[in-house]
Amino acid sequence: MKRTLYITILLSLFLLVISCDFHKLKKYNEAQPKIDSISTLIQQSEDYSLEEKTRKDLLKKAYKLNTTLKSDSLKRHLLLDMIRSAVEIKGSSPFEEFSSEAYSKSIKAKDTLGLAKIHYYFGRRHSQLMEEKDNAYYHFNLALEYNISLDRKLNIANSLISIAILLKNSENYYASENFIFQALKIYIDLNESYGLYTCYSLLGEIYIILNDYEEALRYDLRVKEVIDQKSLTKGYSNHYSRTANLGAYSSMGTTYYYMGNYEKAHGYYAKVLKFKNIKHYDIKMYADALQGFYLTKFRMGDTLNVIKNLNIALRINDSLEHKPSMADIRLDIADCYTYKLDTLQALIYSREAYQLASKFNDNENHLKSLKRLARLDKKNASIYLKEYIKLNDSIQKNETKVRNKFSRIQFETNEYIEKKEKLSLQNTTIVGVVTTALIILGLLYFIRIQRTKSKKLLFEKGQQNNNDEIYNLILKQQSYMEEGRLKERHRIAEELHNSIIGRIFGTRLSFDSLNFKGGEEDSKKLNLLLKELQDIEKEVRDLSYELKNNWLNKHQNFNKLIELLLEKYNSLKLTKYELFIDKEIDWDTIDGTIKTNLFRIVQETIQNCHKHANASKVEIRFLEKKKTLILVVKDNGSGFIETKRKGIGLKNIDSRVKHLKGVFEIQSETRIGTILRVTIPKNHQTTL
Amino acid sequence: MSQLFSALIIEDHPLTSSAYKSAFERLSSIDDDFKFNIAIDNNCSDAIKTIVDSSKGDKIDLFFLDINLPPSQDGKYLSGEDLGIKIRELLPDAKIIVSTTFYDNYRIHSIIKSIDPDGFLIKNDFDLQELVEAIKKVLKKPPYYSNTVLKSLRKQFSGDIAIDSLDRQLLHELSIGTKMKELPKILPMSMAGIEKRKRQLKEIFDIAKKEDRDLILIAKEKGFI
Repeated sequence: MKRTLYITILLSLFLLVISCDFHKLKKYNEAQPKIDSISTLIQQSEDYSLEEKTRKDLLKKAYKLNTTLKSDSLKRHLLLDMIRSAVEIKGSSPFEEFSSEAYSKSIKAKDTLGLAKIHYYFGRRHSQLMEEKDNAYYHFNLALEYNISLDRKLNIANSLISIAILLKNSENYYASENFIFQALKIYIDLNESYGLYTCYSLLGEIYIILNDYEEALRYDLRVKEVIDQKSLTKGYSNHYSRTANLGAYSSMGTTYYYMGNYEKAHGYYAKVLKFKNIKHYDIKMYADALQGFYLTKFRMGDTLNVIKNLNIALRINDSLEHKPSMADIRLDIADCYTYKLDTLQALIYSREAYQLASKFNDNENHLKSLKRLARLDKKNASIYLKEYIKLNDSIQKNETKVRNKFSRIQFETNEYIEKKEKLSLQNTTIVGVVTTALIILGLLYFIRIQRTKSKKLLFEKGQQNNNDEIYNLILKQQSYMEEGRLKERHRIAEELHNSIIGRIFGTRLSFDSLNFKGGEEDSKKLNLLLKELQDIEKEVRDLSYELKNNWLNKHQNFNKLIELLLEKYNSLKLTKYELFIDKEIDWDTIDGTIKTNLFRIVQETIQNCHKHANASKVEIRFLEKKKTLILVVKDNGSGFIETKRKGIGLKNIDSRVKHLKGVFEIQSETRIGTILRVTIPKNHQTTL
Repeated sequence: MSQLFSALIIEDHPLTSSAYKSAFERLSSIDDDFKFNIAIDNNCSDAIKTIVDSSKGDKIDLFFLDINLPPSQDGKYLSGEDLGIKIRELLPDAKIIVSTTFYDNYRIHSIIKSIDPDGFLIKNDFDLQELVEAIKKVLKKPPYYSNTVLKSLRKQFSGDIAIDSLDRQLLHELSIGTKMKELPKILPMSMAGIEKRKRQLKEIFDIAKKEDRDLILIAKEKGFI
């Protein structure tokens, strides 16, 4: 029983370990080169310098190869990597089909990691398309939740930042700031340079919008710090390092512009424009830099080519359909025209800006444009101003609403985190308690089994002891009875002899002494009678003599027993058993316990011989040497290998010999025979 | 010349003691030389009293002693043998005729050794006639041993084997079935001493490898027990 319990525990532990490593195991089973080639394809597809089509083809290839893999989890894992690449590919990419497949698979497999990733990519995808802010938000939030449950710190921070970006883009700057700081904390903990860079850049942008230029500059400088530490670019390609710098320059440009430091701003914008292939890399950044460059030029008083280039930026923004920028640039152009005192153009652009801004809910530019219009179109100024006030109020209201919504989500997320922590603590305690309980139960069970076993053994031992005692007592009883009988015999003999003979004698003699007055014949008769009496005396005497001497025929118990035992085996005619008992041994002086045990030992040995030895001759010898008794059993049988000493028979003999405080030796050679030798002290104190 | 002898019969059996008395009377009637004063005691206590009194006063000339007697009340005298020893001690000149049913060699030997009786009769051996003869002989020319006694002595002396009284006692005890472990209590020897004696006896009897049983048989054969 013990054995099955042990095995079950081992097995379950083993399975536990196995299941944890199951994924790893499966991965290694697949052809590693296949996996490598898929990964390489995916990596290549993430190269920005390639054309979109090439990238899509690479992904398609990777996808085809992926379907040939056997492991579902591996397939899913690589699929997610493909999605990560697909997200970056603008326009129609295989993202939709990959993502729906990966999503359903992750749901089926209950792969929280997969789901976290997918929702994040969904979020990224949706955030690229401006109308789907809410969807993006939903996905990022889910991704955040999953990441919290999986405790993937970096990804939690990334999700937070993604939400922060969304919030910023929906003009919830304070909420966004909140999220950025949360993410920042994690990035600082992880010393994740890219994350820090993102946070600082975002903060920089936000503070500009909030008109806190000091803070904006502070964070811009921090951005520069991070870039300069080069830790940002470690492990990334050169490409990334340059883009990081770009972002920084762009950001600083903006900051300085808003601070009014047009010179410095101009310098930074120039750096951005100097970037190789900026148009191909990030056309938006190019447009912004262009806008900034020429605007600052304009502010510095140089109007050359300003409007022309601003229009270029305008066209780019229009083509990108970047809504805020579309209104924004128009306002800037309007400002230029205002400066040039071209009120008409200024008005046209302002109106355009107003329309775009109000259409796209670009509140900031909406307000700005209203201001401009009010200034330019003095006639309708009051209408514009009224609208301005109305819009401003509703913006604030909205902000509160959204802020509440976000704070509620945040609260729920916190709650969720707390719950999760509590649950995990609960889980660990439950697991701990259950394991300890199981262990304790197992131990108790084990103890119980051992106890019953030892009880059983004790009981058996007790029984055996009792048996031996009983045998001993019986022997003692027999010998007492024997003695008693003997003494009785003696007494009878004596009585018989003395009294009867005495009386007959007395009678005879008395007769003899009488004065016989009879004749000769009678005298003769008398003599005969007297003679007869004398003979009777003699007979009685002889009988009593015989009676007294019958004791010589009494049984010699121990010897007789051994002889009887051997007789039984000898009668089977298979082996010849010979007994030699040293005549010097007086069995009467030897303790009954010794005799009992010796008898049993001989019995056991002969049984063994009979069962295993196949001997033709067996000699059993009892010797006496000094104060020890020696029993030697010798057979010419098949012998046995020394190591096979575990038999119960030999163990019994061993324990008996120990009990008698003796020594037990056994020698055996295969095909030659076995010699068993037991030496015990004659006068002993048996061990209890 | 007629002599008056005082005799004491110590016999617990009344018939036997009266038969003894008639023997004495027969002798007196046959032979004028003998005149007897007969007294009878039938247990050790009375006997010892008589003996002691006699030793102080009129000395008894002849004792007719049975061995198988009820022991004295004080437990000092367990059998006629003890009385005989006392008689020898107190009345060295007295003559003792032992008459007993015991007939084994050991007893005979031991009685002769301890009492050295002037007459030794085994009850089964004789009739009245012989008894009269025995009394006459003992008073005139001791000793007189009855046939069984003579046979025993002959047997003992005919062999070359000589063993001492301890050996005899050992053999006797063994023959009556005394256990080896009891022997040290009966014989004035340790267990080891007893073992040694047995071995020696076996060697003497030339049965070195044999058992105790054989020892006893051969001792019987040789007339030691």
